[in-house]
Amino acid sequence: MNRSMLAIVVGLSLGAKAFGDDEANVRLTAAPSDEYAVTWTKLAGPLRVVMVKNPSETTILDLPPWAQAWGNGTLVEPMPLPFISPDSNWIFVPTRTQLEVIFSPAVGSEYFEGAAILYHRAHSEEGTARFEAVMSDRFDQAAWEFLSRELKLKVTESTPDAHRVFSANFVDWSEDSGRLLIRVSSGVYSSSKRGWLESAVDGWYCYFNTRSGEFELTDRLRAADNNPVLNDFSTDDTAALTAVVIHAESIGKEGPEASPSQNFAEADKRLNEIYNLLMTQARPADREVLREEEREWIQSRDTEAELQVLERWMSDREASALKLESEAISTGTRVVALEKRLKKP
Amino acid sequence: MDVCYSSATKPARFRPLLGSRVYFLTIVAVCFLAGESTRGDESEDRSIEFHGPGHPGYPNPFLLSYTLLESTLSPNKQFGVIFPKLLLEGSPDFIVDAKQSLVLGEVNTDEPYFEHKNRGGLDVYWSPDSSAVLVENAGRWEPDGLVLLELKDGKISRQTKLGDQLGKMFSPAIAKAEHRRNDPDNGGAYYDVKAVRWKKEGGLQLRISCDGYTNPKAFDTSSTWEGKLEAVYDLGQQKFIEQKVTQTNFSPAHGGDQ
Repeated sequence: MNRSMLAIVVGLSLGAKAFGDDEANVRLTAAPSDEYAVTWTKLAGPLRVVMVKNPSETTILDLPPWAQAWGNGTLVEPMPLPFISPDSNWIFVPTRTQLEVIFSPAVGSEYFEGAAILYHRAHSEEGTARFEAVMSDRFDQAAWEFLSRELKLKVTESTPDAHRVFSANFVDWSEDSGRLLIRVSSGVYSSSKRGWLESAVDGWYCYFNTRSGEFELTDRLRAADNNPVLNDFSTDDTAALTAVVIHAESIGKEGPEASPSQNFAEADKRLNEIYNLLMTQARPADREVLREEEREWIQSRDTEAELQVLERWMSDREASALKLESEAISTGTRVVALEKRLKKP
Repeated sequence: MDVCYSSATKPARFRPLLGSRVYFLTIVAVCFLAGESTRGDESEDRSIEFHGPGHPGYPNPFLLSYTLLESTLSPNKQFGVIFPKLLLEGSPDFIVDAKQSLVLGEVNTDEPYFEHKNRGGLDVYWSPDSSAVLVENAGRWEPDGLVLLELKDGKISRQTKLGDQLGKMFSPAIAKAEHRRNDPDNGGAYYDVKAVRWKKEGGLQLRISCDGYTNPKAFDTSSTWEGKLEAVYDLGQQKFIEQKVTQTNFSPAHGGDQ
């Protein structure tokens, strides 16, 4: 987790303050099926599933004991952000629950340990929706333990006062709801040394397979996790994006992720060729119109990319990759539109 | 004929004044008691629900983490400016279609305004016909962004950054006071936008009144220049067509560099 991600983490917590004091109940997320919405009562919860057709039918999402520290008197107030799977049967909730504020000169920022919870829908006999936590232990910790085994991560020897922290950030749900893609971080902080024994900045990708109920890595994720630039924040963005994953693979549709940088570069090159050709074909009076139109299009391309990043709550390099992907798609569409206007030789 | 269509004038903001410590403290006290500035005072401004787009199954960032204030709405109430809450600090400010809940485009500033931004503020000046807007993203010494956005057929047709141009307009007057050669690339002033007026003279024009100054920290070793600027931007010609700078105060440096 780099500094920007830490800022988001802090932001997630501070976000609760963003709601007006009179807005006790907040509708956080609506299910894609439109059956229910997840609401939250600030400051201490609970999280509720409210059925759309019958709002009086609500289910409180049980929080495991390790996640029951909403609004525990610290300066910041946590706000959960639920991400619901496309089939509406799974709810992933990254939270900031421990709220142990650690200041590290090495990191230069505050770190809030974040628990993550995954709920699964179980249908009760009465036909009402009921959601249960997938595991009673910490989801984020279990994910990190899986990754440290699979990737043979170096684990720092703990000292008596050392404290290991975990966090799991949402990246994507696969289209078939079969996989949840998360980026997991962990670190060890020593109170006596007032510093990190193991950096909490680094992060690795992993899936939770909702069909097998297990964490897993595919070739796509292994390639990213083993890429040296993944956690090298001195790497420039173009190189770093080769280790970024922004899409979860559906089951049976595994494979490498298309490179957004390469796609954008190719589409942009083609667009420039066609644009220049059109400019040479256009009458002088029409050139300014075309320039104006291109300016407007660039504005809409950039706005669309920003909206994609916001809608998917991405930050850092995942955000950069998503922007490039969006710009590549917009550019491809623009190429097709301009090609139709070219005069045939 | 110069027809003034609308105007907006802002109250004076605190600036350190040279050689007057008592005056300085008095101003600080008055500002404190008076609640200091009216810039970006969101508490007195009604917020309007804005949904915007969202990804199915994900929290809606606009509903949860953006604010649309009534004061940013265009005269016809169709358009407005939204800014992020702390949760999404660093995300862009956007021009939106409030009636259709559409995001039209981001406001191109280097440091977007966000709720409770330290020493920040958001001032929005719409043309009377709702076809253009000047967005001022206030900063500590001068605007972090001063962007003119023009709308056509419900879309942003052009964005023009006016901030740097205004700062540089002070340059010749400062150079003259300091008896040095004018360097427009390295000689401008910090400035406060004091008033914005829209005019209809053939096409739309924007008159901007600013207070400019140098040496905001009042170092004795630097000279201090203060003055006023009246500038008129013509949207049809896409350039400033008038600019007048008046010096109101100059204090040379006491030793050291100027």
